[in-house]
Amino acid sequence: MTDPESVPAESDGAHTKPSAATQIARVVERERKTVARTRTFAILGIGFTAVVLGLAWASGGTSGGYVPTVVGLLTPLELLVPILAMAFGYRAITGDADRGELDVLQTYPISAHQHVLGVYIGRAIGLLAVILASLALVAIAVVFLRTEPIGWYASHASTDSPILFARFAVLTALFAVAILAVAIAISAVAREARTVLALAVATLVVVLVGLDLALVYGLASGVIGEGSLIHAIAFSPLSAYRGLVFESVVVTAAGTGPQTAAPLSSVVGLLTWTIGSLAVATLAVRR
Amino acid sequence: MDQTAYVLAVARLAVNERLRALLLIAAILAVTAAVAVTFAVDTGADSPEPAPFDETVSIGLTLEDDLALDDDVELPRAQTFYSQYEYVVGYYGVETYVEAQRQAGHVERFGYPLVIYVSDYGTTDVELNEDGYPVTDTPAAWIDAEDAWFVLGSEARTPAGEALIPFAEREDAEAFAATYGGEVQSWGTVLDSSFDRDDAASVRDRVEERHTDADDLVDGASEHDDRPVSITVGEDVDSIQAGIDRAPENTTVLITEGTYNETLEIDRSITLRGEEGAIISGDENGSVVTITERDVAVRNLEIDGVGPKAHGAESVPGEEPDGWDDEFQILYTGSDAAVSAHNAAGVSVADVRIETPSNGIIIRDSPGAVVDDVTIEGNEDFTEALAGVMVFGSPGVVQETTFVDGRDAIYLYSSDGMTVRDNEIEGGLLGIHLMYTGDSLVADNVLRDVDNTGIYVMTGPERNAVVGNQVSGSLSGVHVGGSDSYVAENRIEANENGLRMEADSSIYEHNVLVANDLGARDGTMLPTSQVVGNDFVANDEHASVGPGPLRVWTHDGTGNYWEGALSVADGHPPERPYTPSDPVDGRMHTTDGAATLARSPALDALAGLETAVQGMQSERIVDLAPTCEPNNPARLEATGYEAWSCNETERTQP
Repeated sequence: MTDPESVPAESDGAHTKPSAATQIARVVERERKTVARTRTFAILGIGFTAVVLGLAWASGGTSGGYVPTVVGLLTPLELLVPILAMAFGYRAITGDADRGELDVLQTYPISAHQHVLGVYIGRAIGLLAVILASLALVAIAVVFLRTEPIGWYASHASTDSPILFARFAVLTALFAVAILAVAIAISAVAREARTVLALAVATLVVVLVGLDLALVYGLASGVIGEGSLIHAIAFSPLSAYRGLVFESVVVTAAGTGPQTAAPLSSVVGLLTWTIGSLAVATLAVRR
Repeated sequence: MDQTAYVLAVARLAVNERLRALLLIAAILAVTAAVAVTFAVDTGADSPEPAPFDETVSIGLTLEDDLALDDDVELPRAQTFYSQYEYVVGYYGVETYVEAQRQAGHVERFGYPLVIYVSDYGTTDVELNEDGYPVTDTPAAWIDAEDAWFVLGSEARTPAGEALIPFAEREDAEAFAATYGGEVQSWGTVLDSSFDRDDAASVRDRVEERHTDADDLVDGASEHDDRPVSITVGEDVDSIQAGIDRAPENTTVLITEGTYNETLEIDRSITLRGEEGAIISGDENGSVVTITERDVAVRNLEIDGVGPKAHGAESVPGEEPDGWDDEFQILYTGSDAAVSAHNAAGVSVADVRIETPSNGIIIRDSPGAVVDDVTIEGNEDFTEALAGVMVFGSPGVVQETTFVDGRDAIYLYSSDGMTVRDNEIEGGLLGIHLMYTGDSLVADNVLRDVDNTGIYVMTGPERNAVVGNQVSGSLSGVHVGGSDSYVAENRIEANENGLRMEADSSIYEHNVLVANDLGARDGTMLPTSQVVGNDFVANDEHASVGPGPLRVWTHDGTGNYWEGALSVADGHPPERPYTPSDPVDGRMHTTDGAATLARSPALDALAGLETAVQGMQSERIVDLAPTCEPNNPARLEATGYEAWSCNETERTQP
């Protein structure tokens, strides 16, 4: 009786319009189920987890400790997380459009932003489950695989700590949901399956390579001043993520030097990508 | 559906929704709180307690100095907990730490110090003994260096030199300074002070000087060739011993051709010289020639008939040794030898041929001893033998001597400042074996097919130079322990293990490691050595590493030549880090296709940041700037192996 998809349908006509939160929650639930049922996502998740575990081991990080593992995983994850996030999101709204569900949904008393937010949160749950689960497995691998110090010498934990790895996981999650928002936006803008794939690939190229190169060009040509580089890097999600990991994980162990990131700017950068992309998606759906 | 059921369903739905919303809000709050805690919490290890010093990875004191110290001596010490290095590093002498932290790359290797503890002499009633070493009635406590006061420039010493004495209270420091001199300084000032410490670079700078000193010593000994002949054995007297007993000091006893069945005691400063064909043959019981006076010279003789006792003696000729190791000294140096010299400063043995089942030449407490151009044929069964030349507490020179078989060709014990050069060693168990011997020069020796280890530096000495030797056909070619040593220009070829690097804070450069099963193995706990300009060619495995963190074998932008590390794919000038212990990199010179796989972006991505936290990375070697061409072409060519330049586009099959 409490099936959220059937009961509200019955109650719609007779009663007041459900709250915004409920509307979103229903879409979230639908997306969550879609993600859970779709075999492609399961395969993607397993593949990603295997690759991340393999990388952590191959980099030698798991035998060194949490911080070396972070250092080993950082660059590969900068590339893999956007690809995974794109895979999770790029068909989310296009799929609805393809099947005509979007038109049906537009007859429902659900606003575009509620729909977009619902889709986004639903997909994010699936994406974060994959990323956090694989990083949790990596952390467990560190517990078991790290080389024990030689017993007859006094040893200490140095600055290595699972807390630092937890920070890395949180930052990776933040990075992933930012790229997911971009994917949702693409999915909303391009309503055809054929264009959405092309757009997704093009966006990946821009995000993975283009933005950082633009920063390099900006610095070299003087458009970005020396003093503002630390804030400008927040403009590229990859650099924002990398800077945050350096600043909150690696520097703790490595010591002083030029600042690697302005944490606030970088967080704002990632949030801007997230919120901006969702706004674009909303506009596109409303169209 | 009847009305009641409908109302209930709607009500349940409403409750469910409210519950869900609450749960959701609670979950969001919990996650937010957890994330906030993750970032807010200070992960810098909360100041660890001092460790027992003997459990630290310690540096700054040789094993011999440690063993020789009186029990009541309490040397000033420091122990440092680093942000990246998981072991506590112990420093004998606070100044040892001060100098170490100034070394280039210190922070990269270890991270920054989380906390530094130093000895606190405030509660110990410290005094200085006759050597200037601090003596206390209770062990010194530990105090954070930031809170301590240091007496700088006082009369206090450690075996390594000048010593800082730390105190918790400024008044105590001032009281100490009033008695023993010096000034009271804070930690900040101490960190900026410099202390005279000889490091591996100064060992390198002194190699030439050491050769010159050895030349002088050998020249001095050769003056004993010219002592006038006072007695001719075979003409003036019948036995050599009679000649020795009658000869005045500073003259020569000349031995004419013939075999003399004698054992000799020389207790005056004479030269014993044979004419062609003069043979002294002992009774195969005890030593043949025993020397207990300074400046005795033995020339141009053949000696055999040596007793079989390789070690295990119960007494020694001359004065009994007196020290922490006297029993051991007696066991070894009281044994049988062709020439056994004790308390015989300036003794020299040259142009002599020895055949011995036990020992060839034993030299004890005879500084300035010279062994030059001797041939020593040892026991084919090394389990019955001990040393070709055994040197205890007698810095001097062993040169141009040929050793065949026996156990250790040259056994050096507690002979700081020894020079061993231009010798040829074949067979036996160990070639050149240093025990408690530092500041020595082992140069230009050729060692072939020594069973176990060609050159073996044991027991943690400092400042040895192992230069220009050729070692082949051993289980382990060159094995250098200790610290602050200089291992260079050696040709290490066709051994199972080429070079064992157990000495930290050392320089290993311009060695050629060719056709060994394993080229080099870094076995130090501390990643403080400089490994640069070496050539690794045709080894099954170029290099491996024992426990401890990542080692960077690059210095000032230059690395080593690794056969296979670079190719035309790596640009001009070629740039690509090389990790010999990596499963792919390590096969690039042996396995077709490995070079292609090694350049995969996936591997590059993994390796990209690996030097960011060197001190935490697990055991590995990385050369950030491998060289394109061999660094020592002449030495490499002499081995007959060819190495290719990374710029060569044509393939030549070996």
